[in-house]
Amino acid sequence: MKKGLFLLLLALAALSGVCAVEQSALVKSFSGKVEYRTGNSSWKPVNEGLKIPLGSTISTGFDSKTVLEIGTATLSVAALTRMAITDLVEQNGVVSTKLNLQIGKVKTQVKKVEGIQNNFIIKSPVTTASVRGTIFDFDPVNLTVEEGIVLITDQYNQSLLVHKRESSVGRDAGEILGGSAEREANMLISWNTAGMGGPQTGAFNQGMESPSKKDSQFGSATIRWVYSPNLN
Amino acid sequence: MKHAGTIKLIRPLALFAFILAGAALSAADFDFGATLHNGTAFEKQVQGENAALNQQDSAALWFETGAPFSGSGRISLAGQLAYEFTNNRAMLFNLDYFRVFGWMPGALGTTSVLEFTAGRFPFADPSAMILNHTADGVKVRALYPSFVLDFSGAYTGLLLNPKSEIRMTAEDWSDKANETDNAFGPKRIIADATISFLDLGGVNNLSLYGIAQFDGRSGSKSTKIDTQYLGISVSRLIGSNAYSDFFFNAEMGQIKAPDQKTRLTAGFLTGMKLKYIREDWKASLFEFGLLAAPPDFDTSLIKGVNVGVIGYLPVSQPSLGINVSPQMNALALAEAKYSFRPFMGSANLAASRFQADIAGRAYFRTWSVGVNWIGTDPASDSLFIGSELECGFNWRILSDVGIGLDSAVFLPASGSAGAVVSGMDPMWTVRLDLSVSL
Repeated sequence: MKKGLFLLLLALAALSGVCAVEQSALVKSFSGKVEYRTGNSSWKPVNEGLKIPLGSTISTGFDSKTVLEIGTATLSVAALTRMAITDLVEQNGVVSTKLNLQIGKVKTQVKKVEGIQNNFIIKSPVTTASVRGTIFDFDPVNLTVEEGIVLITDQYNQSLLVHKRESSVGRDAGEILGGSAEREANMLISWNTAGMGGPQTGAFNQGMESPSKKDSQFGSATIRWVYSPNLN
Repeated sequence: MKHAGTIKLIRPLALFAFILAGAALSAADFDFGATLHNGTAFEKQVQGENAALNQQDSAALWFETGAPFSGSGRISLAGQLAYEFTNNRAMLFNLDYFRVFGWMPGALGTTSVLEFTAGRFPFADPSAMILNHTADGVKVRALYPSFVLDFSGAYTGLLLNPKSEIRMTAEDWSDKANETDNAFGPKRIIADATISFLDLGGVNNLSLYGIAQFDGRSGSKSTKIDTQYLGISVSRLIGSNAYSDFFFNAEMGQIKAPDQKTRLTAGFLTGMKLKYIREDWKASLFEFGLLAAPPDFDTSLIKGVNVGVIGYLPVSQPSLGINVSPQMNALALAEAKYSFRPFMGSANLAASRFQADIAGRAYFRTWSVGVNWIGTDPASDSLFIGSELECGFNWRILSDVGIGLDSAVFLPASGSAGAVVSGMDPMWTVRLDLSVSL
């Protein structure tokens, strides 16, 4: 009997370990044309207080926006955005949220709550942003951090921690830059079409030797990504 | 019976492992391609010699593959093999890079990312003025929200001689010219540790780094030099469009010449850069930079002192200019640069990808001593050596086709205004690059 009770408790304990509580996205407010659909069902308009289930896609029209509450996160979804909720579960005090931003822009604020660990990820066709901080703007390519720190990862899973007041861009070549390097990369043109070209350059050597123009004297190597406001 | 039970257990485990391996394999992505490059330079870089036409053509094959690794991590493998033709060498095959890269978020705590890279890939310190070169080795990086730790170890003795810019001693330089007897570049072992603090008291990035370089040259008749570097690099954002960078690298070294006592050396290099970025002004980028290194100082005149101050001696030689690239001995450099995209915002995308730039550099010696890259007048007290003016453009005509033109002229400063001996000709470079990706 004792053995049976022990096995029952063991099974319950094991079950509680794997039991995941599915969450939903709560529509706090909206304006204009905001719709959602689950799976391949037809599009339905949202209303305040609506709980949008996992697997749904949210769409905003022209001059429309909505504010969603997902766990401890608040998302301001801008106009002309389409975003899918691909994962939204709470398990053992860890809230896992995965959103797939197909087009548009969201501003995300993730509150820190004692006892709850957030695993908050927004993925786009180009990059993935996961929360290490609190407030950030994200569209499929660009990330701007207002508060805290966000880890952005490109399609090759190369990563960068983007800090307050910094921005970052994911790009096809797999580079993620931050700070002035990021802004320079947005503006500067390179004749070198090698997708992985050039040795790493630092804050000083880079400007002095015009790397955007000169072919590497070392052959074509890799700029994987450059880190920190002014290169690391 | 027990054995049969074990087999029963192993079978599903093996099947599970097989399914996992299959899933990992199917999840792997694979990309490959080729790049072609032609560089043609017409230049006069040596006093007393005629201008020369230099040609460099290369074709490179590259690949990259990756797969999920250890939960949410990822592992990737990438490589590139290149063939190169130049005027004086009809054939050179080089493994440009070949590295495995692992990325493991949460491996050292929930807010951490652990990275490792192994193989042949670029190594660089935060200033890129000590080491900025491809090498064979390992790098481990731990990223936390407020700081990043880097540790790396590298070896340069497997790089082909023509592809190695690890040149620290006179023997290194003479070996560079003798490719027949020296298939590989100088053998040096490098260890590097860096810690970078983020958003620390108004400073966006503060890096402290140390690098140790050990000379692996063998032979009792060789001069060997081991060097150690300590550095600090600080980056700040000023307002919303200006950036300032500062670094200071201190160098210590031990020169072991045949039949001589080990001589201790010390040197330093410091620099700063200001940048002003305005995307709304046709993608304008203004830059101003300064570099300074001390001259050699002969301490043999001071009895009992066995420490010599030498010009800054990096592990790899940075490229400072287009036409001239001085070694950092008794050197001060001031540089101003401006680049912009005149057709930015144009409906013609190809035109919007045209970028023009101009730059000016003034080279000084930091003491009234001779420098090893140009003849100086012993009778002159002037510190001004010369100036280099540069202009050019980069144009990405298509996403896979790019062209670049670089032109520069170096004007030696002689007479009453300069330190260079009279009669030096201006030196110049015109270089055209074409790059195509397939």
